[in-house]
Amino acid sequence: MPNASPPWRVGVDTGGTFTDLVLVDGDGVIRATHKLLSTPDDPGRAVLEGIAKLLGADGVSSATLATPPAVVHGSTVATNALLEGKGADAALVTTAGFEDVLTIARQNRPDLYATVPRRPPPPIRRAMTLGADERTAFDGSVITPLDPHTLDALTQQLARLNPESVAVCLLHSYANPEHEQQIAQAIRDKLPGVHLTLSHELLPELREYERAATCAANVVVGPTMSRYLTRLDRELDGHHLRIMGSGGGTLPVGFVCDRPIETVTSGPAGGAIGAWAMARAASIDRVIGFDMGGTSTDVTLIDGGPTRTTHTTIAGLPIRLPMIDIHTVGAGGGSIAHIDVGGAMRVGPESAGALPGPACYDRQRPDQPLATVTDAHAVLGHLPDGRRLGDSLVIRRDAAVHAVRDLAQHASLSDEETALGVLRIADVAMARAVQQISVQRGYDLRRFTLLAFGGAGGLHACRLAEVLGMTRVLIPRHGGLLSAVGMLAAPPRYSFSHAAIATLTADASGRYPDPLGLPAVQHATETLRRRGQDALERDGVHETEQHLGLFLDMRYAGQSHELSIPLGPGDIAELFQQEHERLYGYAPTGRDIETVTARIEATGPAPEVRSATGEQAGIAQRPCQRTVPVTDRDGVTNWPCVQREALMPGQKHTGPMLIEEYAATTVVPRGWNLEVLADGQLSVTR
Amino acid sequence: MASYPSPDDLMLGTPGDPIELEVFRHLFASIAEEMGERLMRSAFSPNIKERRDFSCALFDKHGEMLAQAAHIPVHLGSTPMSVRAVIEAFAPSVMQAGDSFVLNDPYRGGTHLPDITVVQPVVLPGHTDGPAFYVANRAHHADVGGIAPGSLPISAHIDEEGLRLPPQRLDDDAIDRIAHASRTPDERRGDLRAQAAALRLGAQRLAELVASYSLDTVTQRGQQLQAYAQRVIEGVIAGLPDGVYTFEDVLEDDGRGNTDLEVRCALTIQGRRATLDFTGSADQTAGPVNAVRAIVVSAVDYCFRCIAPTDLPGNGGVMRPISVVTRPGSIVDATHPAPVAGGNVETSQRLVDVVFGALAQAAADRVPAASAGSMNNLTLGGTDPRHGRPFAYYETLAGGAGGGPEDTGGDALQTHMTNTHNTPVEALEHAYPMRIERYALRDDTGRARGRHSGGLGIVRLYRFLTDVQATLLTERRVHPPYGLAGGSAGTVGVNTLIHADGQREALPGKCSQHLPAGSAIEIATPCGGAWGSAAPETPPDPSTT
Repeated sequence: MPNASPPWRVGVDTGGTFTDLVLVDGDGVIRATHKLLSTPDDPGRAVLEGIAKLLGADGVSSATLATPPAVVHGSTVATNALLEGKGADAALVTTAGFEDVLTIARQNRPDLYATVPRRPPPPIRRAMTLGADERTAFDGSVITPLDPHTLDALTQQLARLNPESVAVCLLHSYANPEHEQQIAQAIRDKLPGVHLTLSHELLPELREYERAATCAANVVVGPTMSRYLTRLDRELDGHHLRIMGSGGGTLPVGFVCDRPIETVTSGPAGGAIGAWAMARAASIDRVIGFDMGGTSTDVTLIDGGPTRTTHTTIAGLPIRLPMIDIHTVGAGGGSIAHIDVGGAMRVGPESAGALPGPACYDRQRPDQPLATVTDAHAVLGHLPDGRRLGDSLVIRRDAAVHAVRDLAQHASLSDEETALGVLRIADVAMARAVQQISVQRGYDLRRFTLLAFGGAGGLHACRLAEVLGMTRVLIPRHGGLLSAVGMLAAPPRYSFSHAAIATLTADASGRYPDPLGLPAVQHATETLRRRGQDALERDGVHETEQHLGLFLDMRYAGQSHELSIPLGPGDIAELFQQEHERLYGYAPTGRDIETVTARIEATGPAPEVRSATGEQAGIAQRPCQRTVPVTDRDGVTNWPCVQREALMPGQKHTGPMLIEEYAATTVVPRGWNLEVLADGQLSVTR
Repeated sequence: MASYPSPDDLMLGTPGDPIELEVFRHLFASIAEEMGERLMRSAFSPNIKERRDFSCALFDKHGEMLAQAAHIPVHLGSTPMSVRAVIEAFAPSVMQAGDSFVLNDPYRGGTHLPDITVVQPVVLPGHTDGPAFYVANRAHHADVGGIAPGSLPISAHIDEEGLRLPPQRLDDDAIDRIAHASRTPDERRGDLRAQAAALRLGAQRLAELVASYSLDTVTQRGQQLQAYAQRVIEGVIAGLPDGVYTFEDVLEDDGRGNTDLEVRCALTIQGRRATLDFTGSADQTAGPVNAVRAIVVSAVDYCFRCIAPTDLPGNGGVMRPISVVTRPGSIVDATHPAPVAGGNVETSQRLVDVVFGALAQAAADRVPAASAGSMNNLTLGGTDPRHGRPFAYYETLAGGAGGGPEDTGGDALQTHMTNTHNTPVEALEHAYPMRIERYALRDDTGRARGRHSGGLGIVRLYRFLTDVQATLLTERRVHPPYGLAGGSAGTVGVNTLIHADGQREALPGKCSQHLPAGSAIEIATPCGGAWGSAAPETPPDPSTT
């Protein structure tokens, strides 16, 4: 490093509508933020424009920037390529006889009562799928060897198909990768430069459909992502670029070009890391991240760190790589309420989106009013008439009332009752999403804090907490761009897995042997440890700062789902039994235990990010408190309404009150108390 | 969940309040879903965990269903009968919190023997007048004894199909008895414990719901949600022209020499009510394709749910405007001791075909052509040479979906009364002494043509690495799934035995054979029928090109 002080850094989150940017100085203090419209035709344009704008902000001069700031970037490029089916024309090589693996999937249909059931079309066309005459058995032994003629014929066929990228996924390749390696070599010789993904490298785990789907998704988004990132890296000349991964860590550009699917939920992962950073700043270990936007809501559970899952589904495809466990529900501020044919009120999944948007934005056609969740807030006074949201929107309560009245008449309720009902249904739907990632997995929500962000998070947080039996809510600063904040708080982080198939049999006293003594497990963990160390070393992470977490997926013989047990001191088999007992309420004794997959999480140090203190941010006390009429279950009363900027650390208030900021509002209902923390976060408790 | 909003929240709680309806739809569904999640995660057998052949539901104190986690349609109408069988067998007044009951008796609340239902009463603290609710789940157990591994034999008597459990307490004795009867006792113990544990969770959640809202409120909301589902279905029926619509199809054979057994539905639409009369169906037969009445109710419930304009809660309201008439002693209302192993899996699919066939005459714009019409059941058993222990394996195979008025039928789908997952080839080969040599779509020449083509079935080839007893229960091997509105019929399935020397031998739709190591079975499943007359040029199906 040429200069002693650590460099400034920029976090850039490219979303569907907005590109959010956050600049931190060498100490991790947030110095500037910027939000601009995304440029979907060329997402890099908004990134470059935004960075230029940030570096020209007040208090940021070239003098303070000895070197161009490093950039951490998350984008929806990979996700959109999958969702919109606009990825590469990729090819797939399977074991002969299994070419339809992506079409057959798991045989089940997504919608039980659709008269004409269908699954989404597979990401790789059947005509681009080739079978290789070869076969490996479950134990890795070769049944049908791969002969040179087969390889020749295969690569010639592939050359004729002229794919942009190729995935190779052969049966049982996790147990013996030889055939995949031979095919890879032949493809590299015949089609040099083609993007190639081998299933034993990307996901060396049992279950052929999930492995093939993950690999297919990788090669479908690969070429698009590689082109985008290579160009952006060039255009960001002098800035060091890293990419936000779905697992909650940052990754080098070259790595992401090979494994782009690892970034498929980079935005929400940034949000989860941002939530975790804000929680730590408030000395909280357990939070539910609640990111409510216009069309959907993302929830995530953090228990001493974000939780991860290998069961993410994107565009109907299972992506079995470890990602931060984010559950999305189709309810947001723009969700449309209607009365269905049976007389029940439904909220969503249809959304008014950004256009025409909620009725109170006054862009809907007056003859087709659509009452949304945001309109319910306008009717009740949470968003008072004339309130400015961001730079361009002004709330018109009469338009909201007009839209809600239509619904109220259908339901034979008053406008206000209807609006309260819309919010109640939205809250119950979101509560269900939170329960799915918490209660249904054995967590006690009473020990968690609800950390609310996104445009609508603060409007719902306290009521949602009540529905869930939670007593504390945290509203961070920069809630509108917490994903970009999180990208700056993310450490370098890699996840790898390796098959480790072995059986543990209990002795007469019921004790199991140490799995680390078994050759398959030993080989797997050693290979993984080396891989993790190598990756971090290439990032310049010193050995002493490397954290290598090893895990072993285990199950009782006969089960088909595994529990991931951390490898450390202590009896691993016993830890597995305890975890089984904790999650499922019973643990059979004496039954064989199988080890299936070993995993490593290799992590470097996490950079610190914090909000500027009041003084640094140039906040002045502005006593501009007013009252506004708000309707709740007890009727209409005048609630105090203050500007977020006017709240000083240490201040305490009692609900009800409204807190307004640039593009968000926090509702603090009766029975809730507010305290402003030292870093400006709002802690709301009951 | 820790707690729910205070009862004060219910100021909007007028009867049938549109907001309360939706809130409680979520609350009930959430409990059913959580039970399902718990059962799937903690069950032992791949049959429950991988294939998800189970369902979980909540019931009111009369045994009316309030919500079902959406897993297996054939359980829709039949699980409530299990709960009612328990209520009839045991006086609710003596039931206590923590009690568990179990049954699989097809003539007393069950459907076929492998489907074991566990029921728990929800007895609230301080209430002495019996359970306020019930929770139940049903899971397919891979072996419950009988003359063939997998307990889906070509039987002549119910007693050949395995252990029959009339409603009884699920205590350690009962678990031992079931385990003892099974070829795979450890799996049975693990799965039954998982079923009971999932129900305890459901019972606890219902008790919490009552604690937050009061028993009266929860009970009333359950009734209102049933009335809601009833209103929607009444609307559907009222939209159909009054009249009588009949349709008949056949079960090809019963595995014991009796062929073309008629299944017949006469649908009468009159105002807001529908009557489906199946009394014209064949008499119960010697082989195992007899269905009990619960299966007919499930099939009818499923079909009306499909043509409803909105997704409906899985509750008892759907069937209130609908009468189902069956004749005891017939193939769709079997009585003791008729063998019923295949009624749940094969006859149930044909029931859907005849109900949709009748409905198509009243609602041509909403009903699809026939789908595969068979679950293509394969059961295998033997001794695993790797460890010398017996194994029993069961799976069902996807087929082609029928084309519909608005879309082509999908390929390789579990259709209508089932929605199980496959067992991954790699998982299967780890667990059982066999090898899958081919798992692919059928040749495109089998695709039914029409304005909206039918979906393709699949081919799966099993090579046995040890001697096995293999049993096939399949249909649509002679008569293809029908087309509608001028679309062509689908393609029949084909079962083939491949000897170790490569010689191929046709197998009938239903058979049970002892096969030596090295031999193989290839199953090609039926392709769905097409909907509508073919346009001059049928565009290729995008999912397969």
